[in-house]
Amino acid sequence: MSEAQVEKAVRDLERHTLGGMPGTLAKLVYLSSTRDYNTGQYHHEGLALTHTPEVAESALRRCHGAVFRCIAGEGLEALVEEIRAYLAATEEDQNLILKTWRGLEIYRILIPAGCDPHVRDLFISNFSSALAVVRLTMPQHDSPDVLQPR
Amino acid sequence: MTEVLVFLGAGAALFLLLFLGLRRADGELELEGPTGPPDPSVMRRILAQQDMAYIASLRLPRIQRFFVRERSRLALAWLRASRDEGRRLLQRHAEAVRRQRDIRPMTEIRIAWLFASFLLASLTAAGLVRLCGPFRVPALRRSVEHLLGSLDSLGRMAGAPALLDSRS
Repeated sequence: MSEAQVEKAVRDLERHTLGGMPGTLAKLVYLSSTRDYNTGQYHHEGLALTHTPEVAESALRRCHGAVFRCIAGEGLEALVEEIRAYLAATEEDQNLILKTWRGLEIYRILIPAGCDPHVRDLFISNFSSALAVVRLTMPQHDSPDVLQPR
Repeated sequence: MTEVLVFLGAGAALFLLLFLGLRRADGELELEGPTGPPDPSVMRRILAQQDMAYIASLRLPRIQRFFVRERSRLALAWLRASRDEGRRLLQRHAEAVRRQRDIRPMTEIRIAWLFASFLLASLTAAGLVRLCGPFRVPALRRSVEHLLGSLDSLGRMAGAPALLDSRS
């Protein structure tokens, strides 16, 4: 597996699968969902067929890290806007999504393996704050309990 | 006589700082292995004024309190990690010195002074975070910059240039 092969797969992934996604958060959610919870390995049938399973795995891992760094490097306001854009693009009930994300702390699985522990903690804290902001600034929010004790 | 007392007091303070710095608190569990020096850019983002300005502009007191509490927690964790890194550098240096025959007392005193200065900056920064929060005091930023400078110098003098290169 060469660097050029992985780069080609990354470009392929960015152009086709990720290209049509509404915002960086949607990409991050998608990429982390291609990771096996047990093994930490990334899988993508189409990419593995076009390239090889190993190249596809490396390309997904690399893209996940890059997209995460992009979101984790943003300020809080930008993260709030990312969450709003993500919610606006989904057809599900926005309140339900916020409640689920907050209750299950789904954002923890968005973090790639090997992440700096301080970056990870800052991301989790920022996401938690951003969710609270989004929920409290929505036209209607059904519960005042938007902040979780840590 | 007064000068001698000041000198002795400063020496005692230095040894106390070194003693406190080299021991970990009892019952403090280290769940994660050593991760290397903490990234300064993370601390700068933890203390980012624009995030605080954004939260303040929302006029949501509960969110603001939660946010400040969270950033304080993160800043204190980062400072603790930087102290751990300082301790690790000093311990590594002490192990290296034990194997050396040619010990230079002045260099060792300078390293001890740097470590004490680093610890003082770290403890001052932690105190400021606890007392005033992570956003209110400009002195905190200066203290953190001083801390990073001391850690750099300590790493260089204690013979760990590779570690410091990895932080830039």
